[in-house]
Amino acid sequence: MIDALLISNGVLWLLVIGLALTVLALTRQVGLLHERISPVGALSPEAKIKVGDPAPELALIDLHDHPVQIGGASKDESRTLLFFLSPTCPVCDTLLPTVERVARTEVPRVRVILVSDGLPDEHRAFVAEKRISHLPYILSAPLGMTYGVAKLPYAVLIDANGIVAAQGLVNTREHLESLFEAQRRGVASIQDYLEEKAK
Amino acid sequence: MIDPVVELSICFALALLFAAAAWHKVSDRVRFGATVGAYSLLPPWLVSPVAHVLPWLEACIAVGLLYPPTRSAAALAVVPLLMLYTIAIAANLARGRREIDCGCFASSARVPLSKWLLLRNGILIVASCLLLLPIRTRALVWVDGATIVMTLATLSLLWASGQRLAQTGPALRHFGGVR
Repeated sequence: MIDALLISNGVLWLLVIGLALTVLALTRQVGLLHERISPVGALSPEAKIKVGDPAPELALIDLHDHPVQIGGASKDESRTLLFFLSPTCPVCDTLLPTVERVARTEVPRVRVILVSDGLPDEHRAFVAEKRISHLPYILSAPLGMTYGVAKLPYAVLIDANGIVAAQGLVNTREHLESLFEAQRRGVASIQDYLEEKAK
Repeated sequence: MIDPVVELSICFALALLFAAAAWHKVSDRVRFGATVGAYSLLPPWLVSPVAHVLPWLEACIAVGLLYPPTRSAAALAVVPLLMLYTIAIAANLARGRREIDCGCFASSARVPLSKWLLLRNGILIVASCLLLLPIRTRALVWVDGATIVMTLATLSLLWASGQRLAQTGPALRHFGGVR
């Protein structure tokens, strides 16, 4: 019996060493991951309206015939996220649920406004298919031109005082979150923040 | 002189390993053939026969290890087979071809070649050599049974994590960096 216990103990120690080595290798990989993956930010091309400029005040009518006010100080301290999309852009499609989710979890509140241009019927079908009728949906080519939107999906975050806080091309959830992160840190974009940090 | 518990643990673990390896190779023969070809060590006409023979060799070893009279013979067969694999991997590492799949297991678990595979095969060779040592005789009690079962379970899990590490480690290289 004593022999059996001794052997069992010996085998156990060997296995513990094996486990410890595995944990060591794991921590090393985690460390490497940390080192190599830097945060990603939304790509901010040279925009017509710069971060820090007041967003142009516009009164528009959305697809559901409700009036929508963009720009200017908000009455209820909420921020505005303009999400420029198109029914024919697959990335916009996959990002839509994320936009909603991110906007819902952000504090203070974020009002999501979807913006596109084209024929209303086409967009009504898109809204019905994606079940996004609860979100304001604006069809306005001038709005896109005002912000100088060249590529989709593009997002603009306007803070409670009506100032453009962050903007950029958003292809993933990380890009979208980087807009909010940029606002929190008070930088124009995450790229700026990284450059600042590197100095 | 090794204890029967150590002998049985190694024996079952190796049998399990070779059975799994053989099963994965037989179940996806086309891919395994391609992998053998990718090692580019054999003349083209020899690739297909080797790809057919290796899984059966592994299966025979797995069965042989479980049956006591053929155990040492099977253990003796493990050593040259693993040495062959190790040399094939080392040769391709020396050529700088790290991206090819090791072909050890299923295609869902693609493992690129790395020095860790050499270390792993080294450990397996040492383990199978232990089986060739004379075995101490003593009566086995229930504690020994528990030890063997638990050892097998832990080794399987350790093996799986090692396999994952070998997969994710080289993948990290694509992120750049100096190390």
